[in-house]
Amino acid sequence: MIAYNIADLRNADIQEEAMAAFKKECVTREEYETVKTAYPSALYMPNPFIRIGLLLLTLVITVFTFGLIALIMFSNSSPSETTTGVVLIFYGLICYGALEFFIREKHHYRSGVDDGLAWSAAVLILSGCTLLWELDPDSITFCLIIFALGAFFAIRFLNMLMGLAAFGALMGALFFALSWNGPAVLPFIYMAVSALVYFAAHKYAGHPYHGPTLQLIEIAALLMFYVAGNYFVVRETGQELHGHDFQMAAGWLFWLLTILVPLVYIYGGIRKKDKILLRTGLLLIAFIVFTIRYYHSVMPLETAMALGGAMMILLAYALIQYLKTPRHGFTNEEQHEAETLKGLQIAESLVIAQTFKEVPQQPDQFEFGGGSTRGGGAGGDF
Amino acid sequence: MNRQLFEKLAEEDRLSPSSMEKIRAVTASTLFSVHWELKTILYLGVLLLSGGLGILIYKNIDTIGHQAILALIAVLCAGCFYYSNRHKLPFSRQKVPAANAFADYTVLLGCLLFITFITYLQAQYNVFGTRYGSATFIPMLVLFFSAYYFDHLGVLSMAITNFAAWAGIAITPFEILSRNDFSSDRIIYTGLAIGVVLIVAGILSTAKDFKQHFSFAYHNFGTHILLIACLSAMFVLPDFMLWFIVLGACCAGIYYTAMQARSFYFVVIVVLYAYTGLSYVVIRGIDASFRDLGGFYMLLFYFIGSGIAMARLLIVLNKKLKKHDSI
Repeated sequence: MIAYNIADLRNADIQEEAMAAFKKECVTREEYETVKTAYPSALYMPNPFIRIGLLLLTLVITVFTFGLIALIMFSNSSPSETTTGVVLIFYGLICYGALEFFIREKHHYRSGVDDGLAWSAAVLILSGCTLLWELDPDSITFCLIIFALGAFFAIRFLNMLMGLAAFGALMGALFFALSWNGPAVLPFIYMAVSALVYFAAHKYAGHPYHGPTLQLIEIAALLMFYVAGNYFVVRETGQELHGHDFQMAAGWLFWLLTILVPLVYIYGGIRKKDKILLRTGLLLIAFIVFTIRYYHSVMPLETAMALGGAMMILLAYALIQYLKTPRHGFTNEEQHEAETLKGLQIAESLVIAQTFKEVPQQPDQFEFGGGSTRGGGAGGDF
Repeated sequence: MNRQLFEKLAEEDRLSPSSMEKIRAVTASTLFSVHWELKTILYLGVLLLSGGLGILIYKNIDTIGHQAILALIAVLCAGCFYYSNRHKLPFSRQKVPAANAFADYTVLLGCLLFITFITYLQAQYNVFGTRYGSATFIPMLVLFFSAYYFDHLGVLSMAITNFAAWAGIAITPFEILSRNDFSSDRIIYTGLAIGVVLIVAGILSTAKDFKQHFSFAYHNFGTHILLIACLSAMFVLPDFMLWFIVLGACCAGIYYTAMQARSFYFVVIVVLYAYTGLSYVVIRGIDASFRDLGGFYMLLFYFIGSGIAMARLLIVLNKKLKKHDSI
């Protein structure tokens, strides 16, 4: 079912492992070269930045080629929706053919070209179907088409984001199927389905080729499980569906879920040494704080920020001290290779530059734009 | 690393016993690293604390409480710098690793609190006068000094954005396009100047072997603002061909340094900026010579053809750079 040559994929994986071992100075250059010649891979896998460039250019080419086709076919008459739909699907199939060609003949693998063609084909076929059958985007059929396309591209082309789209579409279909019939049980059905998806994805997350997609779906399912039981979401969705006379049954249960689920994730993450559970749980702490603050203003925002920040710094300090020598199998040691580390540090510095830009500003008197010599930056005028 | 895989390779006699020993030693450790989780918590803590204190000051600016808050900020700030200074490895021209993960963030917090403090003094008492835009100038000096003294890439990035802000332009990643009014000549010329200054600073860091690992930050901010300013000049100022030549010259220079540093990142962005400029010239040209549907066809053919050409160019460049991977 996988479009790529399995032997090539496996060999590329072996080469990558050997490269990692070489960079950690475990194997010599000669050994790395021997492994590389013993397990050759024809796959074309450019550098990630080149991949982004190729992706953009592929999209430029597909968009303008479609423009050309449309111009030739429709220059004399304005087409009906059916004709447009047929043309969209037809062109989507051409993109799909090009995708298969690039993979089979040129051995492109995550090169940007295959990503671009896969997304073009999927979007074109989806819009074609929508026009052809006059589908409403808020309908089960629409969601199911996305699900089918997403699942197909995720499985055949190992496309992680397509897998995510398929999961999202499945959740959407569930919403349109149930929101009118059983709104009260909607949160529980969502939670049940998310849990099911999570455990299924978790079971096969070690798969050599589908593993990354399944791990992404794991994260999505964990988030969906939480969102489905979150007090804010349940209440707001209920009001959206039933107007303001919506009375929430068993509000305490949802408060309990709002607060407990992230803690359970973190606990599970620590117990099982599962990064996905741990990080998702930590992320969701922010949602606990948001949900509580939305309904109960315990203290002014700035005081809460300052106190919360101080607590987090102290907590991290305590943990760093505690883990100075590794305990219970946990360590604070950096485990990345030098090169990855450099990338991470650069990313971190950009995040810092972005987020701390306005810290000392007084928000309501801040002047946007570069009108004065001091506009538009940190420590500006007021 | 996948240990089973290497055991298999060793069985096939592709790895020497000593290499296999090293791999066993590395993979034997089953320690679970929470390094980045702790760093993220620290970062968020610093973000919330400094932000919260900053707002607290402004909200209490005419009450008695604000002096207490100000004193608290001063004490915290001094404490941060004291702690960072004590847990700091001696200064060197090369990269100095942080002595511990915590000290890295006390530097950051100290700098942020210091800026809040200075900004407040300036606002309330106008301590530094109004010359040279001192409200941004002094924090900028502090940031640059701290970045080099404590060897902190994050503080350096803040210093660089602050430098641009002092000159009147926003260069943080998400604001570079949305916050600057690139239809004004002044912003365009400022952007060009800042870009050149930053790129020169980046080249000097490498050439003089002074904190070489900072050069990426200078090049990154400098390249984007310089090329965006060139493109804006093409779109807005009267003589677009002249600015196209300037853009070409800038791209050539950056391409040359990028190839020397073997940087995929800069090669890709230079190609994309240059392509944008070229496409603009072609569009203007077609627009001037064809006034009917033929022009539209020409345009479509241009984008299809040039898109393919550019993709091939990237593939060639990838091959050229592949020999020595770097970021």
